[in-house]
Amino acid sequence: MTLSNERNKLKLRQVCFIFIALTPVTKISLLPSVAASFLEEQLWLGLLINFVLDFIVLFAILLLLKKHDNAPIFDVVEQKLSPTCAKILFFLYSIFFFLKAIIPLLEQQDYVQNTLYEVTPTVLVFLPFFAVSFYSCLKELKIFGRCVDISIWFTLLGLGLVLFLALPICRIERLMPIIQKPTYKLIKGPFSTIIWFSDSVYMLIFAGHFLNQKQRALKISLSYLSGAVLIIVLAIIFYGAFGPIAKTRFWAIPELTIFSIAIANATRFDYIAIFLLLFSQVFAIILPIFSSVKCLQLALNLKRSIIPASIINGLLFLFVIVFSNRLFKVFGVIVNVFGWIFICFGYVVPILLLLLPRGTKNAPLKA
Amino acid sequence: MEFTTVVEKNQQIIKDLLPAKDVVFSPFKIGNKSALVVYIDSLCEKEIVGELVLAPLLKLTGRITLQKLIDSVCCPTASVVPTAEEAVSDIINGSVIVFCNGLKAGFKVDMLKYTSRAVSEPPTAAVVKGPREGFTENLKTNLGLLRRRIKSENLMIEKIVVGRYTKTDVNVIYINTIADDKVVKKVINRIKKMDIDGVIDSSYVAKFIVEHKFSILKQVGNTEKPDVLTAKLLEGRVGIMVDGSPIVITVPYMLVEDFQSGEDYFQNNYRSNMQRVIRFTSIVVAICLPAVFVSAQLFHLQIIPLNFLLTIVNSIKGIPLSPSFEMFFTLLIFEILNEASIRMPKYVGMALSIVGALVLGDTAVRAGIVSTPTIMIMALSGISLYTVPELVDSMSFLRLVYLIVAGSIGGYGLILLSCLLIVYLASLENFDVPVLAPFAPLTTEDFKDSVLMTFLRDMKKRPKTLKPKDVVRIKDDIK
Amino acid sequence: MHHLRHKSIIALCVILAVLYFSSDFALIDIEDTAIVVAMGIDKTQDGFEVSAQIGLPQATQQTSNNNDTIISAKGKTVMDAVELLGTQTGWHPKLAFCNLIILGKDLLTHDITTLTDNLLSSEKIQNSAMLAFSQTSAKDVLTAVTPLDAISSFAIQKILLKNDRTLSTVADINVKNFALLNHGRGNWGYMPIIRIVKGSIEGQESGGAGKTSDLFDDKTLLLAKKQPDNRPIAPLLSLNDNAAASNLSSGEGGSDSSSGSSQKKENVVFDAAYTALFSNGYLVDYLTPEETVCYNLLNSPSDQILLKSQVGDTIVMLEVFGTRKKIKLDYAVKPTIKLELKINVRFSDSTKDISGESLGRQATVPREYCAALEKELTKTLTDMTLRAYRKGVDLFDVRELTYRHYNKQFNDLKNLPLTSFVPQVDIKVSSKD
Repeated sequence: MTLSNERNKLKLRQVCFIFIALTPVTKISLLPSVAASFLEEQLWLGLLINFVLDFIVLFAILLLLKKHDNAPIFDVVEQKLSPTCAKILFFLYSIFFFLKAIIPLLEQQDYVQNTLYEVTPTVLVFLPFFAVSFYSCLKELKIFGRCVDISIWFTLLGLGLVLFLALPICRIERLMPIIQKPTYKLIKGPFSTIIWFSDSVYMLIFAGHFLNQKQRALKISLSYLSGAVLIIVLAIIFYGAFGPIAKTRFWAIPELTIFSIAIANATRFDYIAIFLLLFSQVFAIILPIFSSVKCLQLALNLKRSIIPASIINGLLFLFVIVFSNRLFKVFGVIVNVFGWIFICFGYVVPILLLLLPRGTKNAPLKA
Repeated sequence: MEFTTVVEKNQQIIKDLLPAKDVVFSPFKIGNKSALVVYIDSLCEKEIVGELVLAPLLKLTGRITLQKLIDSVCCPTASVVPTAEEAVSDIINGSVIVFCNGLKAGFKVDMLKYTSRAVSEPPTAAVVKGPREGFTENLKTNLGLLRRRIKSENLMIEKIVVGRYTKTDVNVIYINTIADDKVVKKVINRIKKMDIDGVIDSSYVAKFIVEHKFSILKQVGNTEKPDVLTAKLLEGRVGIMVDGSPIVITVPYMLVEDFQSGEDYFQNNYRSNMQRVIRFTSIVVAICLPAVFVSAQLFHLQIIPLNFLLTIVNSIKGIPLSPSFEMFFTLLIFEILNEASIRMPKYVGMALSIVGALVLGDTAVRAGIVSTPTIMIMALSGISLYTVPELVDSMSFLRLVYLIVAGSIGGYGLILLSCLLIVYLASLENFDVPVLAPFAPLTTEDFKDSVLMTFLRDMKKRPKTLKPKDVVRIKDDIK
Repeated sequence: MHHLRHKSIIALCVILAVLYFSSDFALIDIEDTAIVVAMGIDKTQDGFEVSAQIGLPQATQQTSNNNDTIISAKGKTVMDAVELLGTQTGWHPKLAFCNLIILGKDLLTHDITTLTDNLLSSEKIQNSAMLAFSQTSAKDVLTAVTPLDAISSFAIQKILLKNDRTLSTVADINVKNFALLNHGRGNWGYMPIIRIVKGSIEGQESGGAGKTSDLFDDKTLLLAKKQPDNRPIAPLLSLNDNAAASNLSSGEGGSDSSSGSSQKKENVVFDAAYTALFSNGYLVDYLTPEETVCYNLLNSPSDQILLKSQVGDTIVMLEVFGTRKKIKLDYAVKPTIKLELKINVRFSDSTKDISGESLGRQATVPREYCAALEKELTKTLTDMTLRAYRKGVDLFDVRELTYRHYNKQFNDLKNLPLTSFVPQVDIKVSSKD
């Protein structure tokens, strides 16, 4: 059982685009204010720590890929350990991605209902999301890659417009002094925002399912760095604009753009940026759900993804109905109770996988 | 069934197989032997039959053989018809069959009279600059128009007869040094597999060769212009020409090709780029504007500029319909007018315009049924759609879906619908070519002729997405 | 499978159609919506009175009376009053277009921190909405009739917005920036004072520095200046004879506000050159127009502003066309706030020929006029800074600057009284060569 054949592999470019266009847009709504609530003017430092940790994992996975000739990780574990081990591991990863999807999902539901609509609608407005998610989960990796090819334009245009509109209100001196927080805050802050990170783990799904090209590691690393830089710049501008009240500004994007004189004179054309980013955010939230579905498909050794897609989307659907408008409670539970799962599966396991022995020439792994 | 040596018996055999009343049986004499000429009156020119077939035969003397008869008529396509079934098929296809007493077979002369309209500019693809010729319903004329443009031995035309009753000629056209063999093979196979009673138009073939029959979007390209077909064949596409249809279909299809007008390549490059951007924008406006307007009125008032909002509030005072229903109602009226204006005889067209635009539009506003901004939005959307006429069918349907979603769940619904549409379109492939190429998958090489187009001299390679055998279009540019 | 697909498509269509034609589940019809363009908040005995100025199409006509566009309601809190606006008037107020929030004079004696915090945290009010303090009740300002615009708040916004971009005669501020200052380490804030000035527009002089004071009698503002230092005071605003607000109606409650619509009102114009200063949420002092200009020179782009320089009897108006500013802290000897300002000016106007030769815009302004301006600005800046510090207003953000630049010593320095800071003003005025 494999997720791709020669015809429906991702392209390396699409993997890079995922790190530039999709993973950053999950970090632009609530994350800046949450980071600010822990680290205030050092929020960028907290984010930097998160990104560095993620980058180490990314590097480890890229090494793993090199070591096993770009073979799918499932196949590597299946051959080096046992098929059962591979299935268990990917079943656990399915749960990990499921958990990883929860906060962005509730975040978007809250964001959509409270900021986009003049009169707060019911959760019904958000539920069609699962139709899109379910339909996307039925598709192959290649199709998801193509959607990323489209959404990168939306992300770049949207973020570009937001940064352009927000720059005039940013007072960079609000981020001073550069370093002054006690060390424990520099640990607690990044730990509390961990659920928005550990994106490198997506590489465990993509590995072996994209066309091998030259300078693979360099291109993926640079893409990851570009995404990280975008978010850190946004966080800096966010704190530069709001300073001490940044922690109370939950929805960074619409908060940042409204102060432009152009908006005051014309109309809320910043909504163009908001909706462009929302488009990418939909795919960004689908990404962990999609990954969860594909992991479950591998774990259950199914040819088609309709059953795992129904299970995962169905569970999340119920979850959103039950926990809608309880974002902060759920956030607290996930960080405090399931935080270790993020550390374990987001950081420790990918690095441990490096310990698997290299494939022998007699039994080459199928890429 | 085999013929006999007796003309009268052969006449009976034909009559049994082809009882139609417009079949002409005309007896005459060749020397001293009785003979019979059979043809369908409406398919053959009587004068030409008399002049080219009967006149030479009447002059014959001496021993009569089948070969002598064939040689005497002034037609290179004359040949023996051994069986009655073949004879009937030939008669239906416009041949004249001649029997002579003492000969056990007849012979046929192709005398098909082509009655077709003249080559003219197609109404859906009028141009200011560039060739104005358009295809007609006559296959031979169409092939002639194409041959005149591609004088190459590599232009291949494969003829397939489709339709149990119509026996329509379907020609698969491609340039064998450019087109992808796999695509050609697939097209031919799919057409051959068509088992249908008749093919009325090329769109019948289009519906049978596509991979996704539920697709909202069309999956084949089409053109009525030989210059456009030539360009598409040169890019590596395969054309399908159907007898009786002025529309030639081309595969593989990419969405972007409908935004490329033939004229783009003939006029100033900057102007062409501007027009391309306008076409793309127009389609977005056409689909989304009514939906965004309804959604803004219902859910996101803040995106409407204050002064415009005040105008809206003023204009909707007393209107009994909700914004969503009002827009739906206006769209319905627009579609009715649109449908009527196409079907209605031309001489009542003017009256329709007056009734539609003035009476319905103006009076509806005055009567307080719909508001002025709604009519303006719908008119803008309606006009915008026609900047890309090829997409009118699918996009007008999408506009309706967008409108319903916008009226139901607002802006987020529009975003979700767009995402769903993107996933759907990204998964659409025809003949292994993604419909959304070169945008998804991103094919930077093909960006030279997409939303913006580069100079013709810089388009040195054929579109990579179509996987042409010969990639190079321009070998050495003039320095 | 296909059969199932068809059924699900039909079901989806039915659901969508129901949603669509049920007219937008529980949302409010645009016709029943009051598009609030400005909001006035007045303090009542046990809560607040919120007056909302509604953008009505007919109100944009010059002939209309402003009372037509005001709805008001009283509530325990601002949002309570806003809710009551809907229930009492039947109009659902939409605050997304509310670009101006005016605080009435009765709020003088109250801590406005909670009020501004609530405005900040409300999802319905844009944080970019401008804040202003009213010399009269907020409702009076909104109901005032002005020849400048049919909707009075639009006229006020014009004064504030215009100045935001070019002329720095008004110290404008929005909800977010006020909260930023108020929750900053200095716990201070400012906002322009909207004054109603009686008379037609022809009778008014332009709003440049030094001009507005002609319209303003200091007696009108019995503010904190005479009050003991370092404690929140309860200043009173009273109107002088010139102010028109006393002529304005102040209807009780929203429902009866329309009763005054037939009343003939006098045309007024607005002035926002004075700036209220807040410390810990209380209004404690104000800046005069000249001081407001000085503050803006150090805090915002100040091109095109006109400054008055006087030597003897001759008054010269100088136009600013470029400034360089620097605010620094120095704890080396004694806590000092260094205010450095370099201004480029050019000749604009004078009461008499000052050099005997033609003085065009390009001509060099004689040094004595630059020196006189330097002296005047230095004095104004020093005085206003000292006065503000006495009142506990952290003008120029010394606490914030200490935190940023002396972070390690911040804990020791943060309790240093503001009065211990000495302003050191260094102003250089030069004219174009």
